[in-house]
Order: sequence, then C-alpha cells, then structure tokens
Amino acid sequence: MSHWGILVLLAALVSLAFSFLMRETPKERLIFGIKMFLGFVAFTLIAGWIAIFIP
Amino acid sequence: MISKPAAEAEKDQFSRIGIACFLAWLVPGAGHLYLRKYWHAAVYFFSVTALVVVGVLLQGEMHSLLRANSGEGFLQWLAALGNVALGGYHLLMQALGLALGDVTVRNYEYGTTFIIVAALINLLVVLDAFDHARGVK
Repeated sequence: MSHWGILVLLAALVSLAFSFLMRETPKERLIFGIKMFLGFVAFTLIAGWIAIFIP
Repeated sequence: MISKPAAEAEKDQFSRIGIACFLAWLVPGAGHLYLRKYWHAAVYFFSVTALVVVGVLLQGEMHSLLRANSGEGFLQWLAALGNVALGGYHLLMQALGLALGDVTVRNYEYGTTFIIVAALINLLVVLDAFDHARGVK
C-alpha cells in the first residue's frame, strides 16, 4: 500500500470514530467527520512540504 | 437515608455501568450494543477492527506488557500501556502470536501506528460507553 493510501485510510477510520464520539446528530457528525478528514490530509501534505526544506 | 428501592436502583445503575465498560473494553462496540446504541456499536466495531487488521497486515508491532520486549525503553513501555486498551484484541493477538512486528519491513512504523491508534480510540470508546451508561449523553 502506498504512503498516500495509508494516510487516507487512517484519516478516514479515525474521522469516522471521532465523528460519533464528539457529535450527537447525523448532520453534525457528517460535517465534523468531513472537516476532520480534510484536516488530517491537508495538515499532512503541508507538513510534508515543509519537511522538504528541513535538512 | 436512601430508601430500599432507591438503593437497588443505584446498585443496578452501578452494575450496568460496569458491564458496559467491561464489554466495551473486551470487544470494541460491545458496550454500546449492550446499551442498545446500535449505530455507535457498529461504527466503533468497524473502525477499531479495521485499524487493528490493517496494522497487522502492514506487519506493525503490538507492544505488550505480556511480551518480554516491552521493557526495551520508556516509549515502548508507554506504547505497551496504551495497548492494554485494546482488550480482547490484545489478548487474541498475544495468544495467536500476531503483530510481532518486523522492523525491516517498509510499513512497520505505519502498522505500529495503526495498532496504537486503535487502542487509544478504544479507550475513548470505553469512556463513551461510561457516559452513555450514566445517562450523561
């Protein structure tokens, strides 16, 4: 499995669990889950790009 | 002074909380199943089980207090302590000799991370079952 695939899988599973842990209604869970998933992926990509400049 | 029915109700509530937390620890989602929170049970079972299965398939390591290598260092000991939260999966993997880890494999670190994350999420699931059993949520 590629690094990208592992990242997406981890982000999806963790976001799914946290959406049920942290929110009560289906609509809130959906919004929270999507935000968390995108946050995971975006932060990792940004951190990866920053890491290029770190010797 | 607490009346007899009130004392019995409190005892029932206490045992309900205990059973829910124990089941949630033993099998992810089982505590919520006991509390009749079916969607919660399904989601927690699926997410924690998937994390564990992928972690094992990626040849990650489950640091365990039951294994001799748990005392290699402070961080390994912390990971082993966290993995206690995996409950039944922890005991099952220990019994079957799974998740021994192979540091030479490219995905070793990823697999180990999946297993530790699964354990920590299951810990939160146990706390969630505790809240549901108390009627806080």
